[in-house]
Amino acid sequence: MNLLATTILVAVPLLPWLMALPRYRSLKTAHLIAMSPLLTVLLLPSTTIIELPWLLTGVSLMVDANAKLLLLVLAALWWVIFMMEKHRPSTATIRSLLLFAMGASFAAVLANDLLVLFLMFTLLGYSFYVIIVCDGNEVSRRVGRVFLVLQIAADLLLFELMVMLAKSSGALDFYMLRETLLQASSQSGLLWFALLFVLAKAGLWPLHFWQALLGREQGKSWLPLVGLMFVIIALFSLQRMLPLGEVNFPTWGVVLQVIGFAALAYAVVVGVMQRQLSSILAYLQTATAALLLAVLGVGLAQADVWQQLHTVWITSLLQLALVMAALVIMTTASSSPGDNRYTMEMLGISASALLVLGLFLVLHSPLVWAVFLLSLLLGRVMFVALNAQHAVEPKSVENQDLRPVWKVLLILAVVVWPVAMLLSVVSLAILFTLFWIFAWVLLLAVLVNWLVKKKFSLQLPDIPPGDLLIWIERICAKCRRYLHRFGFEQLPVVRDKLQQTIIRWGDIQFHQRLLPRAEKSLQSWATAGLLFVLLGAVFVFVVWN
Amino acid sequence: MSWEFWVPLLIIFSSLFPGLIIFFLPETAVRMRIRLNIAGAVFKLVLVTYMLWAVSHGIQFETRLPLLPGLDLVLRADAMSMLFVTLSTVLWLVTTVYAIGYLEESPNRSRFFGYFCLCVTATVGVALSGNLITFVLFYELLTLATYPLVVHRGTEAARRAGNTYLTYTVIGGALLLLATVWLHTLSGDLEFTAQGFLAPLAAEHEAALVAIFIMLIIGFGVKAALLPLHGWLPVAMVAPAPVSALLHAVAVVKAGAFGIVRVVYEVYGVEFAFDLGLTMPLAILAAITVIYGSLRAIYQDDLKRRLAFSTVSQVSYIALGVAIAGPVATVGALVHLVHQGVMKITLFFCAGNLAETLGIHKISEMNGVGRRMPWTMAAFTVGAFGMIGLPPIAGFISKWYLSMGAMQVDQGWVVLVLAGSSLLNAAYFLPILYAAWFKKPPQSWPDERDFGNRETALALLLPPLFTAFISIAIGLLAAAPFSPLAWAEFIAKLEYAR
Repeated sequence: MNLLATTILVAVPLLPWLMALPRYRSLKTAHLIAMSPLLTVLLLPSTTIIELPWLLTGVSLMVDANAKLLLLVLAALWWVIFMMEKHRPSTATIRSLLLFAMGASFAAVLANDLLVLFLMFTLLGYSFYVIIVCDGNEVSRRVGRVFLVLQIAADLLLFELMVMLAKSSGALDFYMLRETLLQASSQSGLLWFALLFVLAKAGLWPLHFWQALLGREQGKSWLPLVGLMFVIIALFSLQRMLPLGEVNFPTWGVVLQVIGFAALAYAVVVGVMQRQLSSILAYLQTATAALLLAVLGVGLAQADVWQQLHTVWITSLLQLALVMAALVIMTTASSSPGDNRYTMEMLGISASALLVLGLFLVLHSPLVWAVFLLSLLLGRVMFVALNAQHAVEPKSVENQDLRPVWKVLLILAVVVWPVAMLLSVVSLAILFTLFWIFAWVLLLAVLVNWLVKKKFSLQLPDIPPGDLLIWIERICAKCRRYLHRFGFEQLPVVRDKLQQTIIRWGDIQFHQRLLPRAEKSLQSWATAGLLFVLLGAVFVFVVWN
Repeated sequence: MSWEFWVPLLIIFSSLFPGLIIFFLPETAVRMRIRLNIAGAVFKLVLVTYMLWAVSHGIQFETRLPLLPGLDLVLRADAMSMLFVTLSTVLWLVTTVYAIGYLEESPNRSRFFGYFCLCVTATVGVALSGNLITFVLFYELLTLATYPLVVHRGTEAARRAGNTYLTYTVIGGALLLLATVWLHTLSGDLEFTAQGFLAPLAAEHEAALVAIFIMLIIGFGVKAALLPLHGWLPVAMVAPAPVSALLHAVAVVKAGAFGIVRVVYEVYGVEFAFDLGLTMPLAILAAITVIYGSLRAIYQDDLKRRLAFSTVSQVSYIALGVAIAGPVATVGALVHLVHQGVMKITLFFCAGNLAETLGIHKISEMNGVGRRMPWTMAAFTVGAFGMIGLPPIAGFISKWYLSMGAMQVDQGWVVLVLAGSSLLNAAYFLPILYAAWFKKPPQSWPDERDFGNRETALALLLPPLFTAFISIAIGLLAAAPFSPLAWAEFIAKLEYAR
């Protein structure tokens, strides 16, 4: 069994890498053949661990029920990417790189220790960098640069984490990391490194710049989906690193919640101000990932709560992948001129996915407010997708097709969510309470806005979330004007001065002129010093003897 | 005299004899020269492979010849010497193939290959030395054998570089000789011994031992390019690419680093050196060199100079690992001796290919060269990624064990130095890769040579591809028996047996 399991698990990354070779990559079904070992993975016993000899300690791969599900979802994402890639004049190199990245992403999910995770995430990162930059424009190169810097930083952080863990426990597997974290003495450093690694690697707030820029690449509309994989694998890995459901870590739980909630609030506020679908989607992804991070914080703070949330968290992670895939397809379809055949279908899928997500979380009511915030972003996505004029002037537009969808959402907002919120009076942390109040205020604002617009009539509006968004947008526009003034009048002065200083110090030609002179002088001094030491040594030797 | 007596001598003679014959061959005897070179290299490889197997099975190889009254010339195959001798033998074979292709149409080939063989003879002698005096003899022979290679082109720049090289190494050598003589007057016996042989003298001669240690480290530090004794290395870049490869990966720099390893582990003993308070200053000096070399590399536009400063930085990893004094750090240092050699030789071969095929010497001329020479640049990419420390390439293994070793002895700052160095490595290697793969190629190359359908001559292309493959293989198969890592662990166990 062990040999069979080893063969199957090793084949999961190896086959995609094999298919990435020039000889096989041009096959139409190369990606499907590359994914085929996943079917056999499903047949393995629920938890299978294999050991492989690498370095002197060895490494291991593991597959359990969660990993199997995640592998299937990743396979679905890769299938979507390859389908979308088929519709553009693709280069063979890109296809090879995608297959290579696919193998690395599968293996990263199978990683049972930090060494394999490091290896596979690195391979995934560098292949994705080439995918971004290859045949790209100036925007791609800029995204690539930011991405690369963050990847290197993340790799270093994980490297440090591994070194610290190896020192304290002598092993590198996730189980040992969790055990080590349970010892109070070594927690804080390890946790910081783990958290910062995930933030940098996945491009989570506040290091999300490259994720927001990915959608702007015209030729490769599937890029955000590859970016999404970083988020999913990083969050999944973090969940495996943390000792969730075992002991309460109140301080660290709050740290994760603070980061998660701050990211969520930021992403929602900035997201609703965006007018490009791809940008809104990026912020939606950031917001959802932030929510999932916050939930991990909740689980870390209260072990018993994690026992309830665990399944929901995994399901939500998978749903994030599927919802984003549907939305990216929708964005691509709606941006193709004259081809809106399945925009409505995709909107339907997205709305259903949102509902599923919402219902799951409503069942675990403490997080319902967050779903409400996320729905704002999803509403914005639909609004922008359906109103081409919106980019010129934000206004409410009647749409007969959407009316039932809005009504369902509205009923949910008015009936289900407040009830759920009431049920969640026992807050998990003080932040929950704050956001709980925030959500209530927001909901009230919706109602007031509504009533004012409709002159206290009880008739349902056509696009109530659209009206709300216009209302939010106007407030945001005012803020933007202030920020604009600050940004265009005061910041440039400071920035120019800073830039000049950096340019002066970073000027390679300046250093190229200066340093050789210093080097030559160092050479002369070193030679003289050597002679001096030699003469001194001769003298000492003679005197000594 | 037994077979075990002759094998080390045969290994020395396998390159010495071909070298002496090649000196007297006319320039036109190309085939004869190639046959002698390859036959010598293959014969040496066979002998070393046998010896490696035998040493792992506990068989002792020793050649002892009387040199002076009370001083023997000793060649001995122990675990540490096998690490270096295997590296230099394998890379010599590869470099020979490369040099044959590189110097195909250039003048004075007999002279070049004659000294080339002498250089490898000296390097193998350094590796197999069983005592300090034998080590110093071969070490000086190495200086003299490499000088003609550095000035081989005969240009004014080459002569200047040769003079600088000679000034540094001769003074360093003199210091080394003096230290060896002094040590001989104190201890008499200079045989390399696991865990050192000087500890018993501590009570009587502590100050002298400290002074001798400093002299030895300076003497070896010149060739190992420790700051501020590194000045000759970037200047020596005017030499042909095979010589640069030899200097950086196989012979000179490695001999210096190996000398430091021998002194710390088998002359003083790592624990005794630590007790004398000598290891920490060495670690700090090595750490400064690591960062300084990387910083200087960033500002170089000349590709070989950038690689040279990279060597300054990377070789100091070995001194750093040795100096922080712990079993795991020792594994990291010793394994880096091999891994750095394989990766750096790949980079120099590629730099040579670019110069020889397209006339590219500067990084600013490398835009789009990946499209013109994809295989060469693929090998360069592997080497560069390895230097940065990306898994699973060999460089990651050494950085990992160095970091682990530093943490084991509570020297967390070393991990920061290594992380900083990795960042700087990325800062000076990634722009090269970006320019080569993603920027548009120019209309014409500086000095392009036509090789038909191939991107360059096979003799130039195969060596970097082979060493790039080895860089990945020794990273992936790090846990395999006879891998550099397994061998380094074997040595560390011997050195820390107590």
